[in-house]
Amino acid sequence: MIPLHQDERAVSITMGYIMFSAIFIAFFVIVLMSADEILVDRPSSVVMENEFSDIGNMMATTLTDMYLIAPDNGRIDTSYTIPITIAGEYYAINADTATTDQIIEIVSSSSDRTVSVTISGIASTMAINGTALSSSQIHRISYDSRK
Amino acid sequence: MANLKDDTRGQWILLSGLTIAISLVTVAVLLNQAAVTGYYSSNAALEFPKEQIRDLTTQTRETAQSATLLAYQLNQSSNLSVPTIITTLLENYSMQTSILYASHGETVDIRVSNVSMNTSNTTIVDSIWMNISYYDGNTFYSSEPEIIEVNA
Repeated sequence: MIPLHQDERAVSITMGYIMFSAIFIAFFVIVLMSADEILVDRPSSVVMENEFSDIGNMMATTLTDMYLIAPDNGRIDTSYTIPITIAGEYYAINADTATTDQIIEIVSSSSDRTVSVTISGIASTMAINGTALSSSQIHRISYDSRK
Repeated sequence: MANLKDDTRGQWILLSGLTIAISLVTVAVLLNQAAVTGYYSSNAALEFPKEQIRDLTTQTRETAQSATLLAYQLNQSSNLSVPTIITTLLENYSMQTSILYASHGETVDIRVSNVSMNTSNTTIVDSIWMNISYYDGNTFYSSEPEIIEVNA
């Protein structure tokens, strides 16, 4: 009997090539199928989450700043810029529940992703309402003490 | 020496070159995305001129207080009434403040709308009503009137 490490029967270069090819093809197919999830979906959901909360925080900061300097008799008007799409999706900034829930919601219009940001209780003394859609870039926040 | 086409040495150099090129492209793409995100997330909150507006009203309140005190003194040696002197002093203040804010690209308008006298002692000023407005292209602020109690 030939010693084990010198026994080269049953070894075929062609067979090895086919086996390795099959393994690699299978691996490649698996990667390809999950590539969309790994490379597109997960990063875009992370980006969306971050950007939504960025925009929510921006709104909350601006509202709090306005609240701090709001005149007894008079008005404030300010404009702000938001990106039209975030991770390829349009969205809406919704402050309609601000007075009861003390939150601003940023809602994506195509997926059901929602991020809520608190506005530190200022809505109980200053009524906040309105909805801004991302289809235009420039929006306004207005305050009028007479209304 | 082998000619250029047949020379197959230097595989490691080629491979490392490719790796470095790909990683540079990746880093460049990531940095670009980070820059865009940073721009959008913080611009509006930083642009809101909270301090400028707060300074404007605080300064106007202080000036109205000191203008009143100064008006009482000037009234001793002048024929003009206290409200007239206050109005003149505050018009000067308004002019200078407008110039200062204009140098930052902001429009400021401050006017005296009413000097309200004490009902029991009509030589004493109770409050000064001022119209303050501010505009910097993005944000409009108006306080009309800002009622300033000056009866210390």
